[in-house]
Amino acid sequence: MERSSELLKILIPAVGGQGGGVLTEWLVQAFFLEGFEVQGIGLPGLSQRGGSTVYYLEAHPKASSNEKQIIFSQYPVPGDVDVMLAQEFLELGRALEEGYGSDKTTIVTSTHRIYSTLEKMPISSGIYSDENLRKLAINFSSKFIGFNALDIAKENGMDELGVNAILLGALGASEALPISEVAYLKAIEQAGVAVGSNIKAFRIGWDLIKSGKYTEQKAKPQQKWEEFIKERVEKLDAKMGEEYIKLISEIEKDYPTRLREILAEALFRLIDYQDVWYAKKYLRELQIIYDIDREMKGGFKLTEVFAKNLALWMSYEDGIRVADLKIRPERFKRIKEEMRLRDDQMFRVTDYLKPDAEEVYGLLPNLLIAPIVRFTETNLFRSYWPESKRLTVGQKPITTSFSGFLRLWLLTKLKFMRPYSYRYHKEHSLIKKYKNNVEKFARLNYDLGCIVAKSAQIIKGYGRVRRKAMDAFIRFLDNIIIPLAEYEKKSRKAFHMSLDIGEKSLKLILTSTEEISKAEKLAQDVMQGKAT
Amino acid sequence: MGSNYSKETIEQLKFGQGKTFYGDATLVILKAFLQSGVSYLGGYPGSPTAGLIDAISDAYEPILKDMGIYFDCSGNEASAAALLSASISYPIRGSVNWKIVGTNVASDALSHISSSGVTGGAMVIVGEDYGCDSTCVAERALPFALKSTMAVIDPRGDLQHLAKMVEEGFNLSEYTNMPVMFLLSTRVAHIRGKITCKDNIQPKISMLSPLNDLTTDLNKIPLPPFTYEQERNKFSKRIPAARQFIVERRLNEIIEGNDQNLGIITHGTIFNSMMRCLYNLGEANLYGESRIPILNLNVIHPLVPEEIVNFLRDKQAVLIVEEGMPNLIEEQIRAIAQRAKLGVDIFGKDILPQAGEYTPDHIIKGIGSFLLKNTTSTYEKERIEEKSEYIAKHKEKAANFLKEPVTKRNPVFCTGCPERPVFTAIKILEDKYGKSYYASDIGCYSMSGLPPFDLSNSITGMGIGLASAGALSRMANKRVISFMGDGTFWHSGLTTSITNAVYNKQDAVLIILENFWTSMTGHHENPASGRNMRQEGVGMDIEKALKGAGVNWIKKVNPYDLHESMGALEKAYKADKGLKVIISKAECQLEKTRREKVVIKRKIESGKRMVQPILGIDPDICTGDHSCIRYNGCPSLTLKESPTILRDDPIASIEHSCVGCGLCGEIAHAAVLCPSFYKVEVINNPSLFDKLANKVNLFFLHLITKNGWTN
Repeated sequence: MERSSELLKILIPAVGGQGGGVLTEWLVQAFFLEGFEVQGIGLPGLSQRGGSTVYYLEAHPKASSNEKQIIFSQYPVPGDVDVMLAQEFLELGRALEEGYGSDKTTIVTSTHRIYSTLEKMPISSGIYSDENLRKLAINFSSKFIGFNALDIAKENGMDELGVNAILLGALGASEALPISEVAYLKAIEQAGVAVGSNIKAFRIGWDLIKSGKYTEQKAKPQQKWEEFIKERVEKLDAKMGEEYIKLISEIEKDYPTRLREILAEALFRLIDYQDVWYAKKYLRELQIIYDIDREMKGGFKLTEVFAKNLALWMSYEDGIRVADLKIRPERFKRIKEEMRLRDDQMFRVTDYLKPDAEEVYGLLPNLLIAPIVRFTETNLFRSYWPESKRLTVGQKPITTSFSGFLRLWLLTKLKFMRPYSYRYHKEHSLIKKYKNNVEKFARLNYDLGCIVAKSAQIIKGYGRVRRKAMDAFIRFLDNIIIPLAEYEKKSRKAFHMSLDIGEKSLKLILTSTEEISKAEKLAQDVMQGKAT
Repeated sequence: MGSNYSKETIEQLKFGQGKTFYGDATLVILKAFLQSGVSYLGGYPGSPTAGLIDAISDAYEPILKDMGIYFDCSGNEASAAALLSASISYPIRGSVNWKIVGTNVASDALSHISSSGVTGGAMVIVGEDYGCDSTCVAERALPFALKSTMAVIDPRGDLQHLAKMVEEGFNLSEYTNMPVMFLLSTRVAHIRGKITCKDNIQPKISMLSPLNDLTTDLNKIPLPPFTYEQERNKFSKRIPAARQFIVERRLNEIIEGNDQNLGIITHGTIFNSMMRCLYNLGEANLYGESRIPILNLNVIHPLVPEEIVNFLRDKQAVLIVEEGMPNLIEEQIRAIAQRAKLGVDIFGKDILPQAGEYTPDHIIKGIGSFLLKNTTSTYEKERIEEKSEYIAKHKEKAANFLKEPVTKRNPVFCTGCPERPVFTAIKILEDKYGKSYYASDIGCYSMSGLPPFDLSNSITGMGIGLASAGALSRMANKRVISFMGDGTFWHSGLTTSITNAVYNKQDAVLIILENFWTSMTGHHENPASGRNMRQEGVGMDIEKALKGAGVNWIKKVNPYDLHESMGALEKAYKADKGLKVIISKAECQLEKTRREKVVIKRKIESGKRMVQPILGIDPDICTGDHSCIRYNGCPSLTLKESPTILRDDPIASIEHSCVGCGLCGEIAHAAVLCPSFYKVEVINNPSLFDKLANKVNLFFLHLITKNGWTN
């Protein structure tokens, strides 16, 4: 039987609630206007709740069917789709993975991402690789047009629904379908949904493709080194600025170019956090690891990871730091910009603060508080005050008001006390443990050193969350890396197992700190020869 | 409910003979109802028939009411089915609808009505969802119809055909005295396209011209001895009449192919997919002409033995493409062939998949192996093999292209949803009280079983959650917590779960999520809305109903106040044995936002003082541990790059779609997470007092900061 090449099949992968229904409606109407027989199908189901959804269209020119009824399919056929018009990049990937794209498919997609819950949940980053999605799209299409339509919509003062008409414009201009510009525009008018702004968005998409100026993703503008430093110097007061410049000239002399920006940011952060001496202390610690790196010719990966994690750890977020960040004029300026506030609007900011007891007494001098804390950890005390019963100090200050502001402002005045505080003492004893282990393992095996350096990435969060992370970090060192390395050292093996299990464990813990037990079991099993 | 269909779209329902009508399948069905002269309509919303209720509801005031057509906002599927009783003794046409699993609820009424038989055309539109595109199990409606002896229409996916089959369905029902089931599959329900109209028919009996005399006919009452006669009638009169009607009106379609030896028998739901597969194999064209003869059953019960025998006769091999289990069509056809002593080879689920939705890749493979079994030419075999296996191979290639599969995207509670905080509260309390047994129910809150909450041990059906934990309440050392929405409460939860729990002294916590709408189906009114779908006010009160049923422990909470709801939960956890009910009351945010967005905008434009809240996260305070997301899952709470190059992992961030419910800030507080969250209240058109207060405030701020700090 003869096959008609004039049957068009269009698949629209989408995220529920993002206006896919209207996009489909425009296409249906545009096909009608061009004298086609059309069938459009939307599958809402649970879709308005932000899940994956898909719309599907088939069209056939009336002129070539001799008025005979076309039998349309309600299901797209894998490998038999002419156009894929995707609202979101991951959903395009999903449809491609299901086999809908092929070497006859034109893909028009927005490359912006709406992250799924599963991507958002891990402690580290669970975001699916854009690179993978791009590879899929290029391999399963004859023509791939991808650009960040959400960015374009926002640049033009539109919300995320503007994406749809921009994509329609891009599809129109790509000439993948036999629909004229006039028909598209008329279809938007007929559908009657936000006609003015959608026509504007359609034009933007159309011009973008016609001018050939679209780029897949905007490359971040590379900031010049001098500007990078200048920006930071300006944020410090004059005296500290001078000291900062001195330190920068030191790192320019001693460190390779690829580490410069990281170090400059770290030094700035620590001066801003405490003082110049604190930044110098940082550089001294770093120097030791850097020397090992040079000795072992590792290519500075170790130094880079260590430099980042050490700086973040040394600038641990205590009450003083939080208060300081909360009342900076830059903060309120940023909020104003983000909310796009006009001059005739006013605003007030309420903060949700709830430090627990440890975060509060941690600010007090170590000499004073350490004995008391030791007492609270005794069984006697615990029998009266179980660990589950935690004291917290909840408050919701209005930081834009004088009273709220004052509370935080007074707290920042305690900055001078920080180096003598209980918390400082506690953090720095652990930082020492971290540094010593990175040093020890790096000398043993460079890659093992890198894993240990990376493990500080576990330490995040505040209060209870951070304590859990801290616990996972210590257990990772004490129960996984140290015994594994010892075990392999004794049997004079290369550190394949330590590296393998170390990496796997770290990956687990970076999904959730609860996974530490699983990781420990993994290590134990290996050492007892239960698994390989 | 905000109107789903525009005024212009609904106006089309008045179109007469020859005019072209544009709409989706559910609207087309409503048009066909009017063209058939129906007197009453009803139903319970559910996918994929929810659109039909929307259409009826939107059309009620402007059109149906004036035609005297009664519209029943049925309390559940059983009430909907019961409505068909009007057609038992009187020549009144009517139709009701529900989703496939609703058939379970309706079956008692269906059994009785089917036994009595009908005088006027009675039709049930059942949303057949064998692919499980919504919350339901993979079941077919056909077995229900078989056991109750109802005719079943399964139309192929074409809007004009759909309208014709609705009209023929009423004729069939009247001709045979059987109520008719009309299957509307998910994909077909969502087709948009055009049809050519006929004139509407004004019903003879309606709210405008009611019946004056009501008859009593014992023959129509399902009580012995009449029941026996009714049962005999089903098989001696009704089924034969249906067969005669189906043949005379050519409801089933035959495509004459030129192949003498082969044939395919299929049914409406998958006819289109199957034709596309034949087209892709080069065996058919787009206009429904095929090399292999095809019998397409638009009526799948009763089958017409003569029609089947005529099709099978003189053929060597026939393939039956039937979606769904049990494969009653195939088994019946095999029996028919056996009785007629035909020597034809019949293939079916032996070469097609047993269960699961018949997507084109499955169908084409099945047809391919059927053709291969019945072809001798090597050249042909190679061609068929290549074409029929292309999809599977292509799919495999695409699926294996990347090592790491594309991350799943689960549905989530909407931004600002009032149901989410309840699950957050339970999740936070798990740290202190451990896990409970979570008996979930049917509604948006079924999603509590998905990440990030993972709070669901069972989903057993509508209104059944609490009852499903009956035995475990006494036989497991776990606290039982059940969830139920207001829609579900009034659908059947009150009787099935609550009275059962009180009667049996069940020890459990029940959380009723009262958000005033049946939201999952697309925001339908329910008794908690304060009015019905005809927009008439009603006063029904969950708390009063609970008290009436003997529930003594009742607490009402505002879900957005986590402190309050966690407190109520803790009290319930510690309370004496028995049923504890917490009513979490706040309107569905999606519906509320949709309605209020316009109002707020108008107020701001007219210069009224309006305070709008929105939440934010300080990017330099957030350390990116994402624990807030693991307690929340709000779509507007997402990730972005950290402002410092020292942090490789993304930090949390709130998008502009935030509706300012404040939950994320409350979570940070209640779960003692972090100080990153803040609430911004934007004051539009500030009053004189606002301005003055600001001046005073700034004066003091300058005193301590001495910099140009301005607000």
